[in-house]
Amino acid sequence: MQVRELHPRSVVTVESTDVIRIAVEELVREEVGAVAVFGAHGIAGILSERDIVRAVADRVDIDETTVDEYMTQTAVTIKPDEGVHEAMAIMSEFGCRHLLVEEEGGICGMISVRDIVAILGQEPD
Amino acid sequence: MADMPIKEVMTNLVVMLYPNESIHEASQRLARNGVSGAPVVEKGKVIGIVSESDVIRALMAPAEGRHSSSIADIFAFAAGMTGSQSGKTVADVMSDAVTTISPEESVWRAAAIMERKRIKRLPVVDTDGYLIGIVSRADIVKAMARDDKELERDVQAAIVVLGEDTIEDLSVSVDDGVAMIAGLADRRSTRDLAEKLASRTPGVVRVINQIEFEFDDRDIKTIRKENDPKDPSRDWHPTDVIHGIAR
Repeated sequence: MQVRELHPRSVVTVESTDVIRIAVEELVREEVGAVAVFGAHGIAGILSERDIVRAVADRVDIDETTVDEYMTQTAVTIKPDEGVHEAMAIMSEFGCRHLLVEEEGGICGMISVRDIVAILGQEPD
Repeated sequence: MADMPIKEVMTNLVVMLYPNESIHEASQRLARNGVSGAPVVEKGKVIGIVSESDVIRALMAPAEGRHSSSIADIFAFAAGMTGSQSGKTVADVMSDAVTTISPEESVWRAAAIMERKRIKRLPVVDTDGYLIGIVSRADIVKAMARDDKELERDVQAAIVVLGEDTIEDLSVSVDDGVAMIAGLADRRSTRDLAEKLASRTPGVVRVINQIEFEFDDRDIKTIRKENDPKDPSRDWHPTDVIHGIAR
């Protein structure tokens, strides 16, 4: 099974200079677990629920602190024709729950560990 | 917001797993309920917790007598067939060191524990240890987000910076992050400024500006610029300005 068959969802993005509050609102409104962060030179990282919990744990003011201070700087990508098994291996290797799907140099979607588990839990035909 | 007690942000209806369930059944229930993990319960008390990563790890782990798992395992598993891993139960894969939290603790405390232990959710238990809810990272993120009512107050406060009565009958309503502002401003520039302030309020996605204005002062600025008093060649006709104000 290929990554594209997981129907990667469209990527929600924020700017690296946005305050964390903006990312929080996006996560809640779009019901996603992570947003891609764009900097001056394209993708700068990923900000996930976990990064936001880290900011809350640090008791920072999310209306003052910017996304780049808490984002995960490595955004791991995968190609849509790679296998789901490969995606699982990458996620466990990098300890991340989200992968950006990259096609012809552009980011075309995002998959999460949840998408994979949903496939595993599907009803038998 | 981080000082709110857990009981106000936790999920009350918890998806529970039972130790003897198969992983297949468990992952189906996790997926169907849209959750990524759940506590394992025996006689109302939490004895373990299962997350997506536990399920994935179980699948990735080499089966007994084999050196690697293959994609075939996953398909077999997904199809409910007898794959090399499909005989496993929830008890086999769960983490049995569970950290729980009391409903009276703060959101901040829950965030600190999750971060320190690198976990995604905490079962909430009463003083007798019985499961009464669960608090997840998503719940904490939601607690930090403002709802439309709070945004309305923020936008209102941002615009009032312009002065209490600068905009007559100011009304602000926010729906899904879209702020609608209405009222009557003296000048067009005041109306534009109010829009800018509203759109800068964190959480506001878009502003629908329905503020009306008494006169358009954009032209006046131009006239004044053309009639710069420092400019010796100025051609100052006070009546032009009066016309501008009077439209």
